[in-house]
Amino acid sequence: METELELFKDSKRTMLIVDDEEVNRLLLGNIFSNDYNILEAEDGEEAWSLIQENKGLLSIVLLDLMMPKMNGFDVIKHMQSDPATEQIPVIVLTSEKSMEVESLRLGAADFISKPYDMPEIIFARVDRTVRFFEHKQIISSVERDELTGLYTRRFFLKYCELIDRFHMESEMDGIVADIDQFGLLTEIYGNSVAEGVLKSLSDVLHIYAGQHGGIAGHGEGDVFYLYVTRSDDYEKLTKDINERLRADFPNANIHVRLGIFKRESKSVGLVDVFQYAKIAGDTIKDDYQTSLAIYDQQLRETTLFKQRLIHDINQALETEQFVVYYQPKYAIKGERPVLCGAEALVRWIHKDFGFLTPDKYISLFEQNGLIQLVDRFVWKKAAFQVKDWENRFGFTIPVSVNASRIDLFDPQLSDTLTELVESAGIEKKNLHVEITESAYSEEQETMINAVKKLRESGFILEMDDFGTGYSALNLLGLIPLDVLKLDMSFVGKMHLSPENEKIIEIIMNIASVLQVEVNAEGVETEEQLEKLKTMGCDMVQGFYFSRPVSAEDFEELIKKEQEAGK
Amino acid sequence: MNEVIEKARAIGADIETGLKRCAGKEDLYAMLIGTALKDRNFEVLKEKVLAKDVEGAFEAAHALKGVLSNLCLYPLADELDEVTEVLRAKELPDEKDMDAIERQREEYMKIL
Repeated sequence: METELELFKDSKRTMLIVDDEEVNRLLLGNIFSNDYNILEAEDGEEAWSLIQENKGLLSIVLLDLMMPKMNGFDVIKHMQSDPATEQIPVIVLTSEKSMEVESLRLGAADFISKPYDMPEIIFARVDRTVRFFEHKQIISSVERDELTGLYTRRFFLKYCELIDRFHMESEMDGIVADIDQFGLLTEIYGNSVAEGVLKSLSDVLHIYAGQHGGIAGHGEGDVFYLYVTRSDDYEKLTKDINERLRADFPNANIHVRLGIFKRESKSVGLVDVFQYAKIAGDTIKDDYQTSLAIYDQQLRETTLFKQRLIHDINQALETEQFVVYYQPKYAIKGERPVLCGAEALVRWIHKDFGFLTPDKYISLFEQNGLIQLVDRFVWKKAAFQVKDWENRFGFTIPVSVNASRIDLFDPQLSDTLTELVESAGIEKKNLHVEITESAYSEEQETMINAVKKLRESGFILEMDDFGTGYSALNLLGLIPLDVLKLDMSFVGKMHLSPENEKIIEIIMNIASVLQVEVNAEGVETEEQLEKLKTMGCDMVQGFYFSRPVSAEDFEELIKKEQEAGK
Repeated sequence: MNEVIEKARAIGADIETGLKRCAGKEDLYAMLIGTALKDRNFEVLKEKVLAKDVEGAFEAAHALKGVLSNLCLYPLADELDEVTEVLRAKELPDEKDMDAIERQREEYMKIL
């Protein structure tokens, strides 16, 4: 730690003795000369200039009060005007009883009465003060963020509490500031520029907080907090931020988004205040046109709804509010379409909200990892369903299930699925695993290895939503695949132009080169079906044959297939 | 025992306490006695009293009192204590007191 090194030059701490009487300086110096490097000043002015020169070095100042030029009280006042000198402890030297309390009141750490009886006691008293302040500094160095000088999150929240306690009547707003694509900024411009951006932003926030009866804090990475008195117009703040960043970093396009929570009632806890502010800010993530978002009623309802869903998920799984639906897949190579499999899709019949469409909860659960619970539930249901149909119809319907990004990060994934198929008593090849292209956008290697492991173990792998993400073609060569699921948007647009058709043909060609089957999703008309057939598509799913149906309804499709096959 | 200190004791200094404050270092104590007796504030005090500058005189007397009591140079230190209190009360010390200071200081000066 830099400060520690500075404090103990030559392994001794440094002390400044300020007294206009040489005898007094020498007497005190004699007490401390073995343990401290001693600086001397004979008046207030000399003292103040030595303090400024040595502020990083001084452990303590012993200060006489009555001196020519500048007296001791004025030295203390000067020291208090600069944060760097404010934290140096001062011990007042006085022969006046009345000055003892007065000096403490003005901010001295302690006093020593003249004449200097008992050198041992003086030494012990000074040394104790030095150590006490060093300890306090260690604590306060955690209180302040090293880079920006703002409060760390923990202390920021503590000080917010104090503001609440002493300014009950003030209306306060919580603000969270985030920098869009901060990681990218760091990658492009390097660490020192990124740190510079953080410092510039923290400057603006610090000044704003000072002007608006509040405080500023720095959380993780690029997250900043403000707790300030209510304003109806935060445009000025965004303007200040943008102007400062443009001035300091003219070549970088930096977007800072502010999420604001107007705290109408102190019954909303501080942690929630900043969580809501963050939620508001995140709604304008990467929207470079907008810098300000206020947590409003609508956002409040959405958030409450999401919290409710998160809260309800375990109970929902236990009470089978989640139901697995199956959408049939048909092989279209032969004379007639043949039922060749199904995709398992989850449905949530919420006990209060009724049927919830997947867009309400899938991405929410993907964000917080709860999707794993849902995925596992579906895997299990699907695996046992395959077995059930085998038993009752003597007919094997391979079912594909979704594996989310987070599942692929789970090193146990392959083992979990293997155990599952074994306990259900089905073959691995009858439980297909669908992964989405977007799962590969980050940490490709981990993802690819997870997929390889699954396939080597015997599972069939399907790539879902093919063509909607990026780097798809690039990835095809790297990932072992069995089936490519052509996203429904391709089929939907197929009739619009010959080019659209051409693209599908190209994908078919690539698939055949890679010896991968193609499953076209979203087939709704006979025309689409015929087209795909002529292009060499292997199988289709879509409303033309059937929407996703319950296991019970699916059995009708099995029976129909068995009839047709006779 | 250092000669200066012995002589100071003869005048009235409490050399046991004085030495203690110097952590028992006789050389240091003897040196500080010399420094104290040559303190510029003796002259400042005389000038300020003559000029009837009570505040200035108080500061000088106060400083001297501090130094001399630190070194336990009695009865000179007591004399300054008295004058300091008079000045603190915004009054000028009378000539008798000022003479006493001068006389006792001279006596101490002889031992150096």
